[in-house]
Amino acid sequence: MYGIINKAIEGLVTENFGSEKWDQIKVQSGIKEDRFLSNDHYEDATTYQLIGAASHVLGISQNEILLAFGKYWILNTGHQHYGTLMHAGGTSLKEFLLNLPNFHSRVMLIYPSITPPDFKVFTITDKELHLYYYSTRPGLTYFAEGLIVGLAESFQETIAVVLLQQRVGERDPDIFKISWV
Amino acid sequence: MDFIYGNDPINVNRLFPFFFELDQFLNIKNAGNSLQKMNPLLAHYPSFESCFVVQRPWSLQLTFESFLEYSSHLFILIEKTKGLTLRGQFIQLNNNNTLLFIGTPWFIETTELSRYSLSLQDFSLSDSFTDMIQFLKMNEINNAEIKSLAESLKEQKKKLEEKELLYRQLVENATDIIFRCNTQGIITYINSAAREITGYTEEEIIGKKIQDVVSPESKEDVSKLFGEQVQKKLPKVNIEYTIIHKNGTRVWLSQNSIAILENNEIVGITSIARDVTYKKEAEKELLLSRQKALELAATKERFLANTSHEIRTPMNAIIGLSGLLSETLLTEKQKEYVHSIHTSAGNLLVIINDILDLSKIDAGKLQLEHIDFDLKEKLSTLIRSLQIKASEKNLILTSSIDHRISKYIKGDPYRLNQILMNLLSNAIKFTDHGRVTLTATLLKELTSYQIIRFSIEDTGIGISPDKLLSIFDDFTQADTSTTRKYGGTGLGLSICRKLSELMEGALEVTSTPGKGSVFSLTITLEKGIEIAAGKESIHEANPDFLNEKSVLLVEDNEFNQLLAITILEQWNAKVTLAPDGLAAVAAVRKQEFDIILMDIQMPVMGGIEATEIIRKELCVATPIIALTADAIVENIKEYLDKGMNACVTKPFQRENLFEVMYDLLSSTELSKANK
Repeated sequence: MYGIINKAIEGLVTENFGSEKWDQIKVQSGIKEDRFLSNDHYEDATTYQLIGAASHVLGISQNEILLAFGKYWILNTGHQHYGTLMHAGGTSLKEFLLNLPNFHSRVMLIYPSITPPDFKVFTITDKELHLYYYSTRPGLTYFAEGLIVGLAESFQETIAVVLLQQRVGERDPDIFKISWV
Repeated sequence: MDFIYGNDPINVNRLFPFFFELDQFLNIKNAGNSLQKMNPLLAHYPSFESCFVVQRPWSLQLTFESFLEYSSHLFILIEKTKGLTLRGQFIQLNNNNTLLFIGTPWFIETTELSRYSLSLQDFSLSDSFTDMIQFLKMNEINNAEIKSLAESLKEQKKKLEEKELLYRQLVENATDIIFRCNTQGIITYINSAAREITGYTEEEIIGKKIQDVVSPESKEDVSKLFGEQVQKKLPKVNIEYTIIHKNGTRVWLSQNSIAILENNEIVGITSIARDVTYKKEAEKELLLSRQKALELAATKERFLANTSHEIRTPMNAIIGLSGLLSETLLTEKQKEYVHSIHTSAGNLLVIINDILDLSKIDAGKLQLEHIDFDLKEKLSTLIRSLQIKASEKNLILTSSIDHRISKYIKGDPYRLNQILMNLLSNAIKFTDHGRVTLTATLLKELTSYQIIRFSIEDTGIGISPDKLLSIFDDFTQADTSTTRKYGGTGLGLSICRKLSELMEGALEVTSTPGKGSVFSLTITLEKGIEIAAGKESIHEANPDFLNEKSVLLVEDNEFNQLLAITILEQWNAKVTLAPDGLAAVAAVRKQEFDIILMDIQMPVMGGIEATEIIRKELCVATPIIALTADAIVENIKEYLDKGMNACVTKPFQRENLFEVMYDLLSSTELSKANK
């Protein structure tokens, strides 16, 4: 994964729990890097180790951390780095979600080594759609849910997210039902 | 608008959402959706000039022909309502009367997307422009990140340089040696103190092994410890050793060596070493001084013992023979002379004993007895023994003993007697009129102990207040005139004080010049148990006990021979004389004796050697009494260990000698009778 992901985890921890906790998490994770560079590529394991260590040090479940991380990613990192692009991605959550596949294709052009997730969107009704989230990486279901919640907050929309199906195999999607209240 | 590509119409709007068509009058007759979003007027056939400004080619004439002429040029147009820059080209369509503009917006920041209210959907999917813009944005972010990183590194470098400077200054200005070596012991760094203390320059010492400067006598220790530290990864070791300074002198170093670890492996050792040469020299000098002092003390002790022995030997003859002389028929004048000789010799003996005691106390060799004794009887005897002296000066000597004081006490009766005797003798000596009183008072009753105060009060000359504090010091009397008038060495009170301290007691004095003094000894004494009643005066009971007893007298000094023979013959003993140990051994081989009186220091063969031969070679068990001028307690123990049965110290009292002989002969006879 790109360093921007690990930097985002660092941001989430330091902004909410302080830099001492981040130092403890780094020690706990056994990672030697002093700092991450956004555009450098790091092993996926580094990110998983950081999430695991954060859960241990902060006493919060990994799923909760991933959920918070998804939200943080949209509301902080996404806006800082892709603000305009995200803004240009749609004027509403629905429009943005419909454009997600193209959005990630564009991201891949910027980050050539990235393995971005893929999305499919099925409109069920005006007030409900199903989002299929495909990722080559396991265990990121709650991160995806955090992204959806963060996006809704970003577009100032109130939604309900229900996980209809969780990824089992590498080709299986996580399926979320998103409904507007 | 659709184009026909082959047989298929293609929707131009999907491919080029910012296109427009220009007729030959330069009116816009058709425009793409995204362009119309920017300027809705475009849907109403406006003139080109009302909607756009041509920025490039700047020499273009606003005529259809001019546009055709520049059809191979890149056009940069500014949309008039929003100021949006469009880059693209004009293509003449087949009907020749229309020009088609195909282009896309141009800006260099993604923020401009929102400024023109454009979304990604406004661009053709094949248009990479927005992605390039984002790419640039990412580069900007990366550059900012790198810049921040560079600044952070710069700051860290500055801090490191500051720290390094601080440490370098500390290390370079340290007065202790600081050096570093690798795991092979090769020196890689030294500070300036090392240069000063070793005398070597940096160039001379860097690259050398520590062993190269370590002294030969320290090499083994240093190598061993260094090896252990590297092998066992010891974090810190301490050692004191010597190095050889460049000028050849030895320098003592006290060193702490700290291991430098990298990934749990020792990569080198940093050592801090202090020059302790002065300290070591001082210690050495102190040790030498101590040895000298001990040697001096031993010499003093030997000198005193020898002097004591050498004085006691003739004193034995003087006191003894003058005693015997006084018993002969003499004129009054002769009696007076003999009495003077006897008394002076007695005084001299007191001085010798005092000096010996003081020497023993100072050397910490005085051992106190811890035995049961009858205190009241001791005090009574003491007073009786001094009555003659007191009455000679017309003084009243009395004693008063608290009835609550235990009759039997456990302690050292001889030393307690010595203190009280000294204080009473002084009181008598310094009192010309009046009385001297000994009072024993119980101060406190404890379960097993009694705190008793012995006070000696006199009506003598007294001591002036400024002398009160110093009278307990060695060789000190209240006044030099005192010495002239009353004699003495000034050792008595000093010995009393030291003895009382040994007994954990306190000796104090109060005095009024011209009226008298009170000396008080306060001491805690353990309550004792009843002891067997004292023997009757045996020499009185059995005055003829030694009648016809064969006595071997081993004595080299002819005057002491005379004294002993005279006394023994007075007791009707049969005396055989041996002038040395060898003669004594020969005599014992020839004849059986009832008892042997053995001097210790004699020419040819001493008393100890003779005793050993008698006991071990001849296997003779005849009682042997050491009759010696040696008053050292430790030596007396040795005589007994070598096989002697008792010891009588010269100058001896006739009664004392008789008593010891009586005891030994009685027990020998008893054991013979039992066999």
